[in-house]
Amino acid sequence: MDNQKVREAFALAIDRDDYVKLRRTYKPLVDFVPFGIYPKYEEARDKVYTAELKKQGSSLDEWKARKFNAEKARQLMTEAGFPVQKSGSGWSCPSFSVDHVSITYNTAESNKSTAEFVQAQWKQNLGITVPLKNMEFKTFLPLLNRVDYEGFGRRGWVGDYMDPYTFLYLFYSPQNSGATGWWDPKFDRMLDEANNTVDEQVRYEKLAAAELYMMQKQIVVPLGVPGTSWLKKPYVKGLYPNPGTLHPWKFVYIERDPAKWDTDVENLLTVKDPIVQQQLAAIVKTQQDFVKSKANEKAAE
Amino acid sequence: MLTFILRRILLIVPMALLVVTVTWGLIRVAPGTFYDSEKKLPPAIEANIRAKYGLDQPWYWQYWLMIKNVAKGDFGDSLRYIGQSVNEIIWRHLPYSATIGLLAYFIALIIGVSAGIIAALKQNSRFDYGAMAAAMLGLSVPNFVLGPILVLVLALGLYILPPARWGGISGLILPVATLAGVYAAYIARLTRAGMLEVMRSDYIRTARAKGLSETVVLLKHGLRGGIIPVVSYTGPALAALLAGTVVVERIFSIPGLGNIFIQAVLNRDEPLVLGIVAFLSILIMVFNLIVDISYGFLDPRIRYE
Repeated sequence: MDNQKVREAFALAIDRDDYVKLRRTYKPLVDFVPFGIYPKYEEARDKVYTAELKKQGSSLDEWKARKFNAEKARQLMTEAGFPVQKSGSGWSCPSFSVDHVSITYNTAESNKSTAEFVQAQWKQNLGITVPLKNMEFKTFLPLLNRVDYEGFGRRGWVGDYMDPYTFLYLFYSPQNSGATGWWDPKFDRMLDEANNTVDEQVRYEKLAAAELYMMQKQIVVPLGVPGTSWLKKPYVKGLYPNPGTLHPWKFVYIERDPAKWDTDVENLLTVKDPIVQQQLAAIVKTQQDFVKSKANEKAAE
Repeated sequence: MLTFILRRILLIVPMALLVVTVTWGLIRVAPGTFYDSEKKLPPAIEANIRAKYGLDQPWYWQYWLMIKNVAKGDFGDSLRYIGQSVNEIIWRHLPYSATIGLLAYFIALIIGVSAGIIAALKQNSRFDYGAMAAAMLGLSVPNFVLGPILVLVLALGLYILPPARWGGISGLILPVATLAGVYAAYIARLTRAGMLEVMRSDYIRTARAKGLSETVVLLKHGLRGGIIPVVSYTGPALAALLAGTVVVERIFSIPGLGNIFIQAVLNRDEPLVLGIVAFLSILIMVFNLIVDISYGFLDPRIRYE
């Protein structure tokens, strides 16, 4: 696993389109910061990746094609010194020992199906059967944080706030929460520099450059972005689906009048709620009043 | 009799402390701590947390503090549910477990005892074979199999009953049936065996010779002796049923003690685990005591020395 080509090969040998079919509410992911949450960051990322990858003799399309490329994966394994040979209808890689490689995950039905899927993919596409290990969550966490697993550990991350940094900081500083043991001062410097930038879009571009730098080391094998399903009674108002599943509960209320209930589910995201708008306006006004009063104070001085 | 009861009550205290000690040791040996999460804590913050919960003290001192508080009946606050005391959590979740447990207990008792008596009286009849075959099946099918099968057929197949969750009588039927199944089967077999033995004994012949009606012979003389194995079995069983049954509560999403107990173990919530274990062990010991006392009333041959 210390060999970058091996890491890349394992990452490429998983058919993420098939994975998504297995998990149903997932979308395939090849980057670290998931898509669908920060549209502006995605714009910046596409721009930076296009320029940066062009410099490296590649392209954005090629980058996005990393969803699955078994041919390239086998080629990379061979380059790394572990030739993958044709054997019968499948493949075999006798020189790669799995004695110290496994997929470790915390016991849960969903993690099990994911681990078995990945195991089957590697077996089919590389001819390598990686053993699976599972353990209870509280046993798994310290092991993960100590980087005591061998090969692959299962990890998921949910953003804490609406900024891509909530994902990227996972590999920031030597004591990071990335649980891979990877730390690179260059990556830290790139993040620091980005965070010292005032202009939002320029900052995003710098963060994207850092993400590309990190992803090209292939320290993680991204699989997919899950969707969240939720049910809401039509009389609960002021509650909207949003990418962070962060809900401002102070705006949520119960509507007694059935005529005003949410029946138009399709347009829940675009329809504006008059009561919430009113409350929002009131909050914005207190802010503006505060700014005004401060300005007045200054003027008086 | 009184000294017997007193001695037994006094024994409960050291026994409970022993159980708590073993549990405490097991939680300490288990990997992971209650504050572990996917975010790695900086060492300084971890040290602060450990100091706040006294985890930086030597183990014997921590043990002493724990035992001292437990002896007072104070388990402290849950480490996971901030600001809620262990006692509060136990009393909040007990009613759910107790409702299901008591219902299952009585249903199992009624079905089991009556099926056992009839099977014993009509030994080797069709009913006997049918009932004992059903009991064997009930004993062999664990409740984590029976529960999902019932849900599959009655809730997801026929849409008669809700598959899970608390609320209304209809929601009680499946969990109670699942719980009662194994117990009813066991009680039926115990009752049958006990009754068969007693009905052949000399004092039953004497009772019949006295000219007593068959009902009196059966209920007053036969059942009292025949039911003793059932009593010794159902005492601890009732304690276990009352205090929550992990599997059934899990299957049917019932917010009972069993569910909370599993959650507490998974969260490494030490005070809550200790509290539930101590509560459960005392409950079992008390029910065992009640069982032992009731022997004397049921069977005049038993004396307490």
